[in-house]
Amino acid sequence: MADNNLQKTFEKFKEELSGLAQYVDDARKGIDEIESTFQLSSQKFPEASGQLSTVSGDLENAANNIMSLLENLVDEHDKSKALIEELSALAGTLPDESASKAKEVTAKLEGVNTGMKTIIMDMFANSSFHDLSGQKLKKVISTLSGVEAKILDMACNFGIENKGAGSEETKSSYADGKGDMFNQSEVDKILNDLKLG
Amino acid sequence: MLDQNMKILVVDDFSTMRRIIRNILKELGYTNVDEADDGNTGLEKLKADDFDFVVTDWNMPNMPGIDLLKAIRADAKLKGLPVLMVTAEAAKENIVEAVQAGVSNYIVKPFTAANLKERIDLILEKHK
Repeated sequence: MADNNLQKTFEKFKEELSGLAQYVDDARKGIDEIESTFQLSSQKFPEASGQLSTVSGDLENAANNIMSLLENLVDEHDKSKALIEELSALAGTLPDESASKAKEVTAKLEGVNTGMKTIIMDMFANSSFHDLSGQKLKKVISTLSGVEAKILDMACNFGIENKGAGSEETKSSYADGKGDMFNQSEVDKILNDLKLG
Repeated sequence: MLDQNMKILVVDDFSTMRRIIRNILKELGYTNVDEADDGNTGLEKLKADDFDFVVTDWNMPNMPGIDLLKAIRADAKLKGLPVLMVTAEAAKENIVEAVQAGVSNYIVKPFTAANLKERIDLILEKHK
């Protein structure tokens, strides 16, 4: 009878231990997931922000190059306008029949030239794509930085130590200096993250 | 008859956008143009010099265009200055806020040279 009771208690104890082991294992898996999220935040988010900032810079360079070309076109247009005016003046010196034909041609040339100028100005106006896309990129970069800060906050509150956070890759991603400005507490968190705090 | 010599200040944080507006203004005959890269710098320039017209963006660091507009309207010397807002912010509340703050006109990017000319002409007509 006593052996039977001992056996039942032992079985119950085994069952409890097994449940506890399962609970610890589940908790560990949960922490692993949070740690990997933390790693994603500390390494990938600054990387993504940096790449978007580079895209913004590339767009600015492209827009400036396009505008330099357009400004050259405007200069060329002004030269051709002056030449057309010269042609028009010359046409006035020709005999009547030829003069009227020459004036007709120069008038057409003037029309073409004016049309080209309108197109050039429209191209100028459309170069504002850089400003519009740049503003949207700024919003995305700001959102990424916000999510990154939240995840870092969460990780700090849970007391998670990120083993890979002090890596060269992480350091260089912060060293890029791209992205939004941080306040002192965020700076302190980053310094801790980089093992400098 | 519009004054082609009027002094215009273009305020925008994007250098490319300032360049676009300056070129379009040049095409419209306005060559007396200065630039500022945010509202703070713009306001300093406006106070230090005599400008006849302001073209400003909305979204800028330090001082956005809407705050520059409010500062202009609150300044005894500058309050009558025509202010044209050129912005990507096309939401109704933005337009209402700009109008309440005393904007002279409002253009949504991207815009054409003809559109800019039309707005400048309208503003100058009212300010005669």
